[in-house]
Amino acid sequence: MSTAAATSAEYTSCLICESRNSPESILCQQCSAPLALVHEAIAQERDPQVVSILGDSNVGKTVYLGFLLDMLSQRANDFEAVPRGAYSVDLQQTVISHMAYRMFPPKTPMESHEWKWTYYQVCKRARTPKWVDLVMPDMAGEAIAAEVATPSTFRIIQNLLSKSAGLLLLVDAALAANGSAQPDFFALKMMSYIDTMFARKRKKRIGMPVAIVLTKADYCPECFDSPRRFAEANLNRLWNMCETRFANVEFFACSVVGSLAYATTEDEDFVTPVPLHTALRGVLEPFEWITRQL
Amino acid sequence: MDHTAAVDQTGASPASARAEQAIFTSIRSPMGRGYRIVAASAGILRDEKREIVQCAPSHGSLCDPSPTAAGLASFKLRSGRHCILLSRSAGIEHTARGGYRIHTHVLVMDPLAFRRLHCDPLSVEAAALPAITEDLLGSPPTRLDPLLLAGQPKQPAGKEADAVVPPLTADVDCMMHILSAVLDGRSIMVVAAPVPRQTLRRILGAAPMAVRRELSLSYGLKFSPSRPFQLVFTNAERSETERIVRDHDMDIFHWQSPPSPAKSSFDTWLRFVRQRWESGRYDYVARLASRLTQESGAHALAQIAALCADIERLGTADATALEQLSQRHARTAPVSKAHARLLDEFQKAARRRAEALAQQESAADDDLAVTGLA
Repeated sequence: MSTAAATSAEYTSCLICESRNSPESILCQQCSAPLALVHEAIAQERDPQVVSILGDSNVGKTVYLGFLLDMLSQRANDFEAVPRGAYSVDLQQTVISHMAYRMFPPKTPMESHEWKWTYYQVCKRARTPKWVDLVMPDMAGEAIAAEVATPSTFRIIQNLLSKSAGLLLLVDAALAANGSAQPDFFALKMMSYIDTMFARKRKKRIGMPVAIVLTKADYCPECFDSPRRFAEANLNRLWNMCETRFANVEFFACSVVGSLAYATTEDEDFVTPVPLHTALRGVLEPFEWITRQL
Repeated sequence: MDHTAAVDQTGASPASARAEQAIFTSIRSPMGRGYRIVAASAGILRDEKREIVQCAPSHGSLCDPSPTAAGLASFKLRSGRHCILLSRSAGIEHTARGGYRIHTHVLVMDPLAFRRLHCDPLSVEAAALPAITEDLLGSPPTRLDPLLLAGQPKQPAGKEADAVVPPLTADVDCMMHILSAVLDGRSIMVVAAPVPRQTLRRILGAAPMAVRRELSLSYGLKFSPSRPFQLVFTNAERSETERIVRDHDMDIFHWQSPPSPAKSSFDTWLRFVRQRWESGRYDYVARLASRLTQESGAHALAQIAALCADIERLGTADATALEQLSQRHARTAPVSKAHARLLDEFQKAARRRAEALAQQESAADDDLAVTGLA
């Protein structure tokens, strides 16, 4: 995607859907992506790469992305990350602030203008560090599910995926370990959707890097020993799909919560999960792998 | 709004209107979790479901954060049918991450059925409310049957009654401004209206059926580009309204600081409506507006307003005024069915007045004769 023609005195072309917007607009009229992304990309004089984080509702996308960005901002594992625009910090601030108060962050609404977008410049310290500009939106799981079920329901997701250089697909390992087939079916549908979108020839496998992140792995610690074996055993439909149609897939286990409590009162008929403390494990590795593939 | 007066053009009874229904909410079930269509009647098309999912409010989308929050949206689907979303808070969302679950009851009606309820989404809401039980809110079923809505619904319990007390002058000014924008076809967002539902009821009552049929609107829902409706009652921070004005072609109307009244091509109709409202004749305006199925332009509405005003003047006209009024409309050719019926009403009223004046004259002559004899 070229940002050279992205803007003129008369219009600003959206980074995601390439529709024209007036230069004063803040959000794209078509897809509600922030037009600040375009202005930042022009300022960097290089095209950013989109890494999309996908997953079902309540799988942990917001928490994962928030902690990932916070770790990068704190230079974990020799990474250096610079946010482009104050809006890029909103997501990690929301996640860290809520978790500090022992609360999970609020549910991400399906309305795309409410999604939090992040634009970061990232590099790993090396003799010749290579800076990469990454755009990573935090999408609502229900919107992703609706798009997979009926394509073109949320065109922004279609556009994002078509522009993605890499994907992180989050799957609920705890549910899968408990015997639920829901995570497997969602992941299979998601991969099938991606396959339909990117496949050029039936016999050629898709080369785009996809990191399958098994979240909430603190419930099933065996997941950390061998994420691949865990996926093969508990997410067999997904495993088979990856093996058949995707050439560049890796499996990771991840956990954020150290211990979880459940709170309720006599009057309530619901239970509130309370994250007592965080113990990050496996958050950076999927991202590191993706950036190596870019 | 008085539901007895408007009669379907085909002469069909307004006894009932059929609606397909669906439920959009966030529950955990064997088939999935999160906001989605959890149940639907068989008659809702796949493309219609897609549009419903795009527009329906999800987490945190109601303006009121309380557990009794409610909202409504009404818009035309690309299939040509009309969709009404009835949203309300329904307990804590199953992931308990703050905020209330939003339960949206979706009604899809074909144009004739919508017309049986006067193209008025508030009437549809009133008719549908008995079907939206607490059981349905708590545990939605997996399948639904189409709904038959009564053509003369009762007022919903707990909603603001259609007050007989006329609104404040300032509020009428605000309503005139909004009504002018609606008639003009402009998109308008009304921010911080004190009683949005009642205000919407008044405005719908004064908008001709021809306008209501095509009007998309919402109240009680936060603004979203995925809900690009023509008339939106919402609450929004000033920074957000500035962004909306910049990004979308919408007028913003702040109820607490309205702009100065501006001239409108619909001034004759607006003046007519205002005068009737100020004398408490809301039902009269609503009945008249429901009859106007073809009139939506400024000139046509001005003609209707002038004719209705003249019909009223006939009641107290003397012989000279009666002659002038009759001459005014003697050669008027009707431009629509409603106009033709009103002209017919005018002629009948003029004849009745002429007879009454003749009787008065005759009675006066008799009195004179008796007095003379005495």
